[in-house]
Amino acid sequence: MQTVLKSVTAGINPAQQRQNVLVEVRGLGKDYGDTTVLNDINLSVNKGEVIAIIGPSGSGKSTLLRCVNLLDPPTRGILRVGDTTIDASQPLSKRQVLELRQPVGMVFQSFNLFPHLSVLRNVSIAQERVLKRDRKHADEVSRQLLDRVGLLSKADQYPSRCSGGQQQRIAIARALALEPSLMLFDEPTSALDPELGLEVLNVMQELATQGMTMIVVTHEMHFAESVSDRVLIMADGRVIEEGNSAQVMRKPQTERAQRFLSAVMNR
Amino acid sequence: MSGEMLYTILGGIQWTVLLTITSLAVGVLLGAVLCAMRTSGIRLLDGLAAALILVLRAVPPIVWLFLIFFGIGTGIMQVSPFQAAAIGLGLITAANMAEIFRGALAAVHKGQWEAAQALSMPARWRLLDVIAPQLLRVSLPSIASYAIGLLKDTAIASTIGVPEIAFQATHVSQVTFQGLATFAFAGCLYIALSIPVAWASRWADQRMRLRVAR
Amino acid sequence: MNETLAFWQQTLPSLLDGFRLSLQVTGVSLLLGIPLGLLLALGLRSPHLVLRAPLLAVIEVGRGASVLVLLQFVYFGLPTTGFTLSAFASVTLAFTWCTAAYTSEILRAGMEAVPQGQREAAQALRFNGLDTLRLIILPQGLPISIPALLGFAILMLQASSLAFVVALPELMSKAQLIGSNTFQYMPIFILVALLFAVICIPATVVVGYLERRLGRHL
Repeated sequence: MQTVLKSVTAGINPAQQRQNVLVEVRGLGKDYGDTTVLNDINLSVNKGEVIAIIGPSGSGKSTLLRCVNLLDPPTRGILRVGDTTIDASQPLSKRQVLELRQPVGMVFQSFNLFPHLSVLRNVSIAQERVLKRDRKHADEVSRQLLDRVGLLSKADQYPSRCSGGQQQRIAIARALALEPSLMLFDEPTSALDPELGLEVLNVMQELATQGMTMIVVTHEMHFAESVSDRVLIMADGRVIEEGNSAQVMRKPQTERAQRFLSAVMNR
Repeated sequence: MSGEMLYTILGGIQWTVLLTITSLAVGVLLGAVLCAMRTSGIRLLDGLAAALILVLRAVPPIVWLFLIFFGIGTGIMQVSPFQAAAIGLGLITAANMAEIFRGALAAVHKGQWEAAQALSMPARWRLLDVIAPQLLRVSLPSIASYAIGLLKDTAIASTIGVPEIAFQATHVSQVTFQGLATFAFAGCLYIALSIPVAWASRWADQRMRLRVAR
Repeated sequence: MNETLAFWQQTLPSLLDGFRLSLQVTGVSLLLGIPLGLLLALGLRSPHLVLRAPLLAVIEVGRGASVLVLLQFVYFGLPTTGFTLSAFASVTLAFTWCTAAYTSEILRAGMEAVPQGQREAAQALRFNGLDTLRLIILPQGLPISIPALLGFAILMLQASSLAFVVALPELMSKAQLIGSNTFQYMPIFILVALLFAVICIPATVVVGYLERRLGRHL
């Protein structure tokens, strides 16, 4: 009942919620002072879908991603993740933010592992503090996850002793430890050498195959084409093209998209 | 507390300000010399300057003042309280300025040196036209914040008889037995005096921020 | 030269007594002042002006007033309100205030030096504010602050030499007594300088080393 009431007041059809649409964005906009960074973004993400967001620098891709988990709260528009809907024009409460973030995990371009904690503690700590698991249980889960990303051997070492690719994989394990239904990736391989980046992309591909819903901001065109289901091309704060990945990447409709893709694909 | 008492304390301001400015001037000049010695490339000069700086900063200011005033002053030659304070604080300031200038030198982008050399500018003009102006701009915030600290440190000169603010406050409190009000007033004076320096520093810093190559 | 050495040998015990007191009063002030400084730094993060304003006042006075005046204010000023404190207690109070004020700024800068990405990761992982502070920010921010805190500790030890104006029998006070009795001002103050140098020079070198090591880690 609560769920229905919440969605009705936000103007979103409750029927859609039963349809496995995990993320809905309507009319989203973001301003920094006088500058508009995002304008009129509309997006729907189904459960199990992998969405890639590509585009030139400054197009607002990362900003959009960070709006989805409210790291940068949007200025206007409606955002729904799972059962939580927020209206950006209303003041945001802490409770709403926590609710919305509950099913969402995030992986950052600069990994952001906690350097003063061991790899194992990095993956366990949020489980203990946020999910209130006891240490033993948390560590067990952590080891399983580290094994899944191929880094169980690094469990007792510190992040500084790991390569960039390893750190990013640990970061993925850390996010997965909270059992999210949606994973956000903000240029996960941009800070990595191509070889190390490949390790990370493989883990991401596996996640996708296992059915995780993912939104990935990336420069990796091959990943965008082969792993994602849908691709969004952004420029100047708007979505200029959207659709099935093979289609959009090979046969872009708009001129702006064509320019971007030809510059990027032919390097 | 009577107006006369207040007036007495206010009379110390000129000495405080004079001592601060004198020490700063001495310190900046000597500090530049020390910095030049440290960056000269000549090991003897470098070591000498480094040792001097270390010792000057390791010993409390009051000890230097006493050494100069009582030590030299009674034995070797006559030094007035003000002179002793100015020399002592000046030397300590010099040590700190040397470090500030050294840091600033490193901050001025190395490329500036090389560009000037490539243009075949003679060493003296390299120094005067390209490096020194940028050096000054980079050091200014540190110099300003040090100056504020120096202003407050001049209070120690009261112990050797310089009639600045703290000296007057001590005198007044002994006469009136109103320690609370007297020293509170003196404290506020120091705070008030440091405000214009802080403002000027921020203004200068903002204006100069753009003109330095990083 | 021999005379001077003999003089030094004679007067050293008395000076060392005083120096011990200097170290004690500095130590206690740091022990009390640094945690207070942390509380001040944390308190300043509050969104409520009602809390911030008095804290800011405490900090501005602790930093803005000359240490000497602060000392005299506490020692000579408090008795007029009925409170009388011993010399040691007065000096400790004044120095603790000073320490808290300066270290609050050092610690604030240290916490701000922790990369923003750490906070964002904690946010994405749904840590609450207290946990973020306790588990992520402070464990990284405090070590960053250590060189600056040590540098401040050295300055505080030097400042203890001012305590003679409020009749604390520390090093400077003992030296003055001996000086005025023997008129051997130069030798006695050189000895005082040496005593300070023996502690402060190695300490400064250690701080420099720590600064460089910490810089490499980041």
